[in-house]
Amino acid sequence: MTTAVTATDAAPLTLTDVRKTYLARGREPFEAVKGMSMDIRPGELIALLGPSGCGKTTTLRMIAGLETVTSGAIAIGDRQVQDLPPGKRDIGVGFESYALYPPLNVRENLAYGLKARRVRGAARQVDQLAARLEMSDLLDQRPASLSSGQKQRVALARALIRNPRVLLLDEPLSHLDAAQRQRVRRELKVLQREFGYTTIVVTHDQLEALSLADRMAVMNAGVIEQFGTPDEIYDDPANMFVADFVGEPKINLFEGTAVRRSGGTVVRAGRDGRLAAYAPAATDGQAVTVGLRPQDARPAHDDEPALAARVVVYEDFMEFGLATLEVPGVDGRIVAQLPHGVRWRRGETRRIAARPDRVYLFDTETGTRIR
Amino acid sequence: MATLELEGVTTRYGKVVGVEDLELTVGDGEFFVVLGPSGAGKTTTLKSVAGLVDMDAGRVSIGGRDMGGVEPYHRNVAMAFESYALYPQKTVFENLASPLRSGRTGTYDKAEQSKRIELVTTTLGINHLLKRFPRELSNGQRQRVALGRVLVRPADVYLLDEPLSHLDAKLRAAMRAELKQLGEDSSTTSLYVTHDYQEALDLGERIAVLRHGRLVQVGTPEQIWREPADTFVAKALGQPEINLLDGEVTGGRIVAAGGAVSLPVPSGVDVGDRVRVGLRPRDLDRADADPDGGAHRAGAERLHLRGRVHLAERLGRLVELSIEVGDTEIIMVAGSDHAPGEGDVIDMAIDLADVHLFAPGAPGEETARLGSGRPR
Amino acid sequence: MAREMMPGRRRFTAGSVGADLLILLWFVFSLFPIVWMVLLALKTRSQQTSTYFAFSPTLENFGTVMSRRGEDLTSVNFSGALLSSVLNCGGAVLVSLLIGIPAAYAAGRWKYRGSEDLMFQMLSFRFAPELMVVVPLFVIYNQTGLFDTTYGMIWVLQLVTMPLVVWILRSYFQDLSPELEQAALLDGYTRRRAFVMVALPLVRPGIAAAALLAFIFAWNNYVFPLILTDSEATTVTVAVTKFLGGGGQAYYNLTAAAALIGALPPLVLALTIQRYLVRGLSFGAVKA
Repeated sequence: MTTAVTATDAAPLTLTDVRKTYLARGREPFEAVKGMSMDIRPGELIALLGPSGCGKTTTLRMIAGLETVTSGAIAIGDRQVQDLPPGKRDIGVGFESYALYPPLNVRENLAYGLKARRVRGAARQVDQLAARLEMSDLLDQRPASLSSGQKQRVALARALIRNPRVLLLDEPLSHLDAAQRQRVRRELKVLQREFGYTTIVVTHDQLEALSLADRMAVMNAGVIEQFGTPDEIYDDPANMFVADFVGEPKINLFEGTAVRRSGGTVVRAGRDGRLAAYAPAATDGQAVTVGLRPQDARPAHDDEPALAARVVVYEDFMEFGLATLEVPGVDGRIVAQLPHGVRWRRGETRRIAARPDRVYLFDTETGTRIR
Repeated sequence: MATLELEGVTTRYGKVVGVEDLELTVGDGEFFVVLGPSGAGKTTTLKSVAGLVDMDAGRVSIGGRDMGGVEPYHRNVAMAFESYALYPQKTVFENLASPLRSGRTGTYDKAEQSKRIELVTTTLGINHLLKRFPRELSNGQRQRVALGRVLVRPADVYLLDEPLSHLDAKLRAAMRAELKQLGEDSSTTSLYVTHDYQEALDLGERIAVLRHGRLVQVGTPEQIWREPADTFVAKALGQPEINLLDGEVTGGRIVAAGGAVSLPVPSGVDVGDRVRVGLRPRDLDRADADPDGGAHRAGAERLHLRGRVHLAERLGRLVELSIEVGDTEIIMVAGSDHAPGEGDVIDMAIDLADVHLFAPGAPGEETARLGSGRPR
Repeated sequence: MAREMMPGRRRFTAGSVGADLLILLWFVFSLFPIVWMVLLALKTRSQQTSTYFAFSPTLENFGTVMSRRGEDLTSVNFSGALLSSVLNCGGAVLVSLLIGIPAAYAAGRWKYRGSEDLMFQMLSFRFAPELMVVVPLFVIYNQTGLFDTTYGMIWVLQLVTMPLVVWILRSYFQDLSPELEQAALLDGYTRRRAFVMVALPLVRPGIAAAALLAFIFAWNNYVFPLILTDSEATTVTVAVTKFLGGGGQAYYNLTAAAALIGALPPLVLALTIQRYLVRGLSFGAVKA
């Protein structure tokens, strides 16, 4: 740890009704981003999560200035930047493909942006940053000889070298294998904390978003479906899309009918299945889609409403077990993740239940959560 | 139906080792999984059994019959390739009919062919694709066709090369459950290759772990999980990876993490003056807050640790905690309800039976397991 | 994911206009002889040396070349030469395919020490000047009675076409995953059946490209027919030059007409299977 090269002034980033419409001759105009608004606090790590084509990369590129903004405003601190060229925005970008110049060694790659800008003391700055990222030994190597994890760190270093006010990272972990990904993910998070940059990470991997982000935006078809902390997104999904996209194994979704009781709500599903749910807004007899995460399903106590299910497959993963179940009258199968030691057998009938506040009800038509 | 034996199988590609001196015996009807990272020699193992590569040494026997000099088409094995290897110019139906029409896997008239194809495609959920060409399918569908081409006909041995690798998470989970069911119902000896430890634990009746073309350990999932032969196997199974701490043996105790980890040297384990302590992230419990963590293992002798949470990362219903313990960092996984926040000091505990002891070694060096922390 | 960083619009600058002009100049220079030949083919003998562009065009030359009239005039049997060109080249291509396809398959599939050298050795036949071998061949052909025969020509032309066929097809076979044939083996088919059933149909475009290129190379060959044939098996390339006769006997207009006719078959073939040709011409150097 040598001289600190920290973000001197991490800046808030504000997106106000940002839109992007692609006009192609002879085709319908395509709205890639349909009115994004976000207030990002200084030093916050934000993840943009969504399936491919949801507009997350377009958003990132608009913030970086690599894509024009059709309408709306982007502000870094109190400076409007949407009309500035990329070089004047004070933004560091780490690309998915690393985008390192192959003929230059790591040192030259890092210094490249500084030299282009005729920054004085570029060499010293590179050395300091490299020391800070513990990659001084890589400085004289060429990109081709680096492992993908190392390339990722160089790409990150290059985004950091100009000491930007905002850091943008496009799928930073996608080229790494599972074990590396975990290590680099932790590293990235720790570095981001220490450097204190306002950071946006674009990813399609829900686990990456959950684990990295301070707050995350789940995007779909150019709009934000939900913006909140990982806890909020996972424990309190705003709609069916978010519940379905976040979480692995995936949430079980099946049809049910809400029944209001004095004590609360119960949903009926299948022939005679019942689950207690916490949803004061549900009306009696309302047709709903029930969302139950495999991790939240548990063996039922004798005296509580439950789904009786036949075990189709039981998979033992040593740390936990997965039971694939068939509930009479329910379309599709239901998966329950059970703690290690609960061993169910194929063909058995078992009863499952869940904490009422973990049984989510959605409007079947609109997908909106009924709370 | 047949047993499968590999004796001293060695296959090299030029100077590159595919597999080296591989010894395996797969029982009749057994579902046997070969687990290893890429480049460990998994595919080479399969191709050596199928006769698709020239072995440099060793013997493969199927049903007690030496396969030396036996052409692939006389071995009566079926293989699903990781690359699918579907015939691009043939429809899905023709691809599936191919093994039935060769005359070497049995004789099937047109009706019998259709019946078998119908059955297998229904199971795999691809019966609506029969008229399509491989190029018109998604990767997931291709993979299922490749699997169908194996299952459609009887064989002595099924060879399955990463048949779930190209599927998205949801489909993979569903197909894995499907395979589990198929494996339980089928009586065909199967050799299944994967790099995914969860697949291996789930599907394998027994598992062989390969590294750099060499066999590291063979055993049931339980054995591999509970008693990994060395640090490589211990690291290969479990996400996040097992914590490995360098410890010293002083005064009859094993001390690691600058004194923060300390347990008695278990009787019956032969330790020198240094040892590596392995703690699986999910074996660690919250001793202070976990409502039933301490209770359900009451009576078990436990190792207690205290540390400060450095990083808390949400992983679905779980939280991965990086905890500063003494002079080192330990990863543990806890439930997301009432999870500690960053900066909190927490108490953890782990059953001594779950503490793994390995021989000492340099960083990066894999060393053998000596035993568990529980006295015998 | 390849993303376009600079979706630029083309600008017209002094430099780019200058480059365009240079390209145009090169184009005119390279096309002019062809234009001149077409014009020449449409002229009468009296006009053949005039450089005026204004003349009354006639198709008579083409008729003359193809009929007995031409033979009477110049003692060149051009239609006969056309036929033997087709026979010679077609035969050479056929032989090359029959032997070359299995050879290319073997060369593409099996690696052994020196296999690359062997392949390069084979290709180097293409680079060696034909004149080096043609004299001994002339002697041998005279002794064995192969001189001026179709068999003789097929034999010598396949020296030209075989390396081409093997080299092109080998790259096609290399592009095919061997796992396709391995799958066929495990389906219960023999190696030969696996080759015929799986590999062969997939390289059909390659075979088309190789056959066509081989045909064109054989068709354009000049040295072998010049030395190794006389009248019976002589080819178009040699026959064309004979219209030039000697001294004042030169029929430039007939020569031009004959050359045009002679260039027609490969041209038509090339245009019909142009799609495969481009891939074949790259010799598989760029793999998909």
